Amino acid sequence: MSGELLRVRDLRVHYPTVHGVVRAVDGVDLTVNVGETVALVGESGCGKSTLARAIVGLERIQSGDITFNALPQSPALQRHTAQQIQMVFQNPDASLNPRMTLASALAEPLRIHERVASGQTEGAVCDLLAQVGIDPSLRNRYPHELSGGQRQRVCIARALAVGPRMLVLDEAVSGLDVSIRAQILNLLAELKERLGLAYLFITHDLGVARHTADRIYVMYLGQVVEVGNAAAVLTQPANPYTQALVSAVPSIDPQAKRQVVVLQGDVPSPIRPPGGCRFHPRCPKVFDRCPREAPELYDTGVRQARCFLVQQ
Amino acid sequence: MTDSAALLELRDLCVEFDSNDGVVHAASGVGFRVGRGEIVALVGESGCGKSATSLAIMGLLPKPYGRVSGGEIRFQGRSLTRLSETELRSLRGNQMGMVFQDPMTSLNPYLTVEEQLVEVGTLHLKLSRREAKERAIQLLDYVGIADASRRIRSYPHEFSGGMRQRVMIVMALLCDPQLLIADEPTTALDVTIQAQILALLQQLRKDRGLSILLITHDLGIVAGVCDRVIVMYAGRILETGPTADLFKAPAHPYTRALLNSVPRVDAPAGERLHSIEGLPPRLDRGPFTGCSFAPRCQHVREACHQGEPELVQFDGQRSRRCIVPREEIA
Repeated sequence: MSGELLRVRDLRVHYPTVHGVVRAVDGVDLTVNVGETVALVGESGCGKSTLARAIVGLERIQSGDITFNALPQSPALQRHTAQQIQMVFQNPDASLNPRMTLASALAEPLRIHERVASGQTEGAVCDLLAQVGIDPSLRNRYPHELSGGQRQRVCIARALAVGPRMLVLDEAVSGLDVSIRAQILNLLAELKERLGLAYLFITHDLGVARHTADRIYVMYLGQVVEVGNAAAVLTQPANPYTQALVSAVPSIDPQAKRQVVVLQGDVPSPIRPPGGCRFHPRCPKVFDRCPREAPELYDTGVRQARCFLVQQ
Repeated sequence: MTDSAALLELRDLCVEFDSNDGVVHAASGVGFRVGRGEIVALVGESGCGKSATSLAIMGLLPKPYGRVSGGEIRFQGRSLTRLSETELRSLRGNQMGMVFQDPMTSLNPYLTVEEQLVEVGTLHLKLSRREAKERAIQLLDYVGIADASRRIRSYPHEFSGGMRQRVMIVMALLCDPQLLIADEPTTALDVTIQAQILALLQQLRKDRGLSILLITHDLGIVAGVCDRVIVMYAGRILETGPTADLFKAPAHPYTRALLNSVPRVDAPAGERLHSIEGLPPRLDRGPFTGCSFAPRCQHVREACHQGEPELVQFDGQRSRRCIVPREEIA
């Protein structure tokens, strides 16, 4: 199995606000292949969550297109795409209805998408729970009777209910304690192997990205600034922003002698992004060309990076 | 006076909360010291008792549900448990300050930063409004807020998350405290902003000899900035020691397991993470019969269920609550 599953081309998602238009996603190209894990990393406000929501059809797009299985996304195909791409959100407390038992939460997508005959719902619910490591005898419990890690397992089971080929995981392990986070990451790895799933992992945690992803996209102010093989991007980042981001991640090895690049200032407003390279006001390697011209994504073989220094 | 090197000393501290299901023993027999100019980490997962311990030190346990039910907190050789409310109030604020996780919920959204910072100066330091404002501007400038004399007139929502956390740090610094308790100060921030705040905390220790008790769940932060580590689990201290030693050769299976479950940027991908199976025990079910970590421990043996191990010192500066030979863990 290989080949392209998802293609996003020149996508723009803009929000009108009283202060002006927020260019949350501003010209992004992205692909996910069959069975591949792709991580989308960046800091708050870089547009990674908006991009994820646009992919699953939760945001109105300004321009550009999204094709899945070579079929364009459209309202007419909504039901078809929904069965193919499912999303898991960060906070299971907010995405599970507190008044629905696990069984009813899982039966709902099965019924709506007509996945099983009405007499077989119970069995299908039990199978789904077992698949994510929850004892099916707990199916009549309510979300508050479970731990945070178990609740996230239920959200994964619900996403799997319609038999998708790809999961979009928006910070799906961010709210969990380290020991529980490791359990969920291992579960996702098992499911991927067993079901041949592709993942789009939205995360701010570069450790999680390194651990799970084949390829990584780094976003800054609505644009992709670096993309490539996960190991290449994280061990030898080419874009100065990626370099700063990677250096700022605290390592659990106290012996590691690292030079932390402490960036000055905050991320500028996406309403009025800086001209030229959007990172130039904070970039430690800025030179005269950066404020004047906007760099493209330049190819270096293992990666593409948006920086004039890579082009040369 | 006792040992002058220890600024803060906890002895056998117990903290309880009342809940619908009974009494929760959030901290049981917690004892440690923070020396002058030292940065000490209190690490553990949700519900391990690290925040309950820090709130007890600050006297901020929610009344009447939470209380110190045993043990002693000594600060500069004086026992806080025996001070009156008035004495305590002048000590908090003046000698120890606290920075919380979410600056947006700890700042008043209706007041400008100036009003909130000046209030501290006039109340605690008996300064005039003008003096208090000058001092606040100086400190804002010191923590890296550009154009402080103008920005001080802003409201909290006009600042970014990192800038708000700097304002919180200024608020804690106004009275020139000797101890800063920072409870997950960077958890709500992005990594590049986190790096700025951590650099600032280290600068404070260097410039002012400030002692910092850093409460965090992030082992990476601990490795990067702390001198010593205290690992908590189920309301107990399981291991303590100098950061480098503890990370190099953890002496408790829980510490080892925690380190193994962190996905690392600098490690090869694709390996299965070592997760810790199961969940932490409930703390409202009376005392444990054995080691609190035994049900989830890979090295568990018969004796672990017989009684709870003591926290035993070794190698001079380290201690651990475990009976498994150290060679098997490290």
